[in-house]
Amino acid sequence: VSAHPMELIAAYGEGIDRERAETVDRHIADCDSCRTYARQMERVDALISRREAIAPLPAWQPVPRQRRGGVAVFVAIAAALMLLVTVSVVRERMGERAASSPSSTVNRAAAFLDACAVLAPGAVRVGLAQSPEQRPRRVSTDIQTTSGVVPSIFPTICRHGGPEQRWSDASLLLMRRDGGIDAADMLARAFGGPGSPDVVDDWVATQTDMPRAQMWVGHGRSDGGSDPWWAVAVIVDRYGYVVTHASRDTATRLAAVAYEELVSPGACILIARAAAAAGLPEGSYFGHVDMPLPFAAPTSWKTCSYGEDEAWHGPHLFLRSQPTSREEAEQLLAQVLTQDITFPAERLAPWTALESGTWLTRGRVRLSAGLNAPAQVVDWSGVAVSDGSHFFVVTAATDELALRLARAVSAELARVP
Amino acid sequence: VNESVAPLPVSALRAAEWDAAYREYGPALLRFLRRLSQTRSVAEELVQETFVRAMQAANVPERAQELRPWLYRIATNVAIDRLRRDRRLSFIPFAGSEPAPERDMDQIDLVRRALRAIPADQAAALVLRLHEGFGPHEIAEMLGVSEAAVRSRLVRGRRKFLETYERFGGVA
Repeated sequence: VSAHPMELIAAYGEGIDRERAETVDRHIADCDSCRTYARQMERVDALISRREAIAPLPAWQPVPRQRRGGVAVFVAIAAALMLLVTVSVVRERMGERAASSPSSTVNRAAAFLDACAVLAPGAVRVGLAQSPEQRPRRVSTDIQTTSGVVPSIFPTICRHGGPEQRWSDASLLLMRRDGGIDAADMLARAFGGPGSPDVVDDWVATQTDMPRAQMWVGHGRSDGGSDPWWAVAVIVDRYGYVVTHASRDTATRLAAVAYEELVSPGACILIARAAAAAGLPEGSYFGHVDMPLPFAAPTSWKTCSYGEDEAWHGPHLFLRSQPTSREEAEQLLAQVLTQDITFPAERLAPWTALESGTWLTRGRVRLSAGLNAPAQVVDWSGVAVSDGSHFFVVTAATDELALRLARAVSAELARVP
Repeated sequence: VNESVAPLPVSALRAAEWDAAYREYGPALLRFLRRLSQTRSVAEELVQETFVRAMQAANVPERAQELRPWLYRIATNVAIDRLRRDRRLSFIPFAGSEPAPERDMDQIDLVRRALRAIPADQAAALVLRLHEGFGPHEIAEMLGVSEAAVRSRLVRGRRKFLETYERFGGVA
């Protein structure tokens, strides 16, 4: 027994053997502090033993007052809970399957296959001008022909450029070829076919070094438009897309970047799909697309913001490009989010492990709309996830949203071969 | 709840048994869970979750005398899950921004707060032992650990509780 047998004193109430009990008794007799400690332990027992008042059994919370009570209510509540769980699971699965389901509606397909999620980082990488006026924006998929308006075969079209509707601006028409559309069909109907004001005179099959991909290049023209444009069409796996631009070289480079984004989903695609799965409204990709991180090599992270909200409380995804072990991830935690020069965190809590491979932090920034505008304090949460191969960080306005988005990103990454 | 909600795949008799179990054990479980919860409404939520988990379980005890400890076992797991989750989400304050203890906090609130601040498995063991009166053997069965582990949790829990309670301003 040590000089002060605190452990034994704390165990005294639970019963210890006679020899130890006698030792404790002898010690306590001669030790004021130990006697005090023994009394405190008795007091602890008394405090915890003090009974909570017996309260009336509560009615089930989600039930309207007039329908409370009885077996039926209990069954109904349990059924409702199960229904909620079921709906949640079904929605989650629908979300996961939407991209591959031929029966997906155009809207749903657009949510999970957003051309802007591909074009936004592509525009940055090929060096197109980045300004609020030239942000990637979704454009109508309707096509005006001489015989009326027809829907495009591409459920999602994005254009990076000014407000004018012209194909000489960088544009991406994107679809999944689940509806049985073959290459010839896609090329023939890309711009609406006969009667369309926009046509590509002839598509020429072109060699490409993109694995599994077929590529065609065509020269386009538009009625009433003075600028000719180039179109590059690509089919790879189940995706079909067409990129247009005034420059053939830019269109070709954009097509190559789009290929990379689709084959190995980039940050914009992942955060867009996560946002759709989390029920967020449709957003845009603005500001922090492929933003270089001060602590990292420019090519080692893919980054994307989702929505209009540029500060970290708007959803952001920071995805490490290369495979990252859990140990590397833990080391990188100390750097990521701490050295940003655009929105320096005024306060950043230490990362805390939520579970294996998942960490949470909270940050605070002070934002101002202008030099004389009052500053606004904004809190945000960050969730980092490492599955031993991928490593990414999601930021959002709340813990819950950041966690939901992070889970959705994980699910998306798990589907990537 | 809409009338058209499909019923659970349980027989009416089974549902009636659950209803009786809820009425019989619900109040005691509420009292137990209140000891480990920040607010009464959280405790009520946890009682509901306990019964929902119980109804969904495949291994419901056949004998009535086994039902009480089994429900306590579920309630304990529910409470531990909640304690751990709340702690993960709430103990990440900015440096220096931890709220100061409320000076006029009731003693019973201080006890609850201290219990929530110590390791969840120790808090659960202490409340099961001292508040609910279960023996170490019963607690061991509930928690799925050895009796020695329960005794260890009780001892460490007492010491941790005293330290925490005093840190929050309580006098033991």
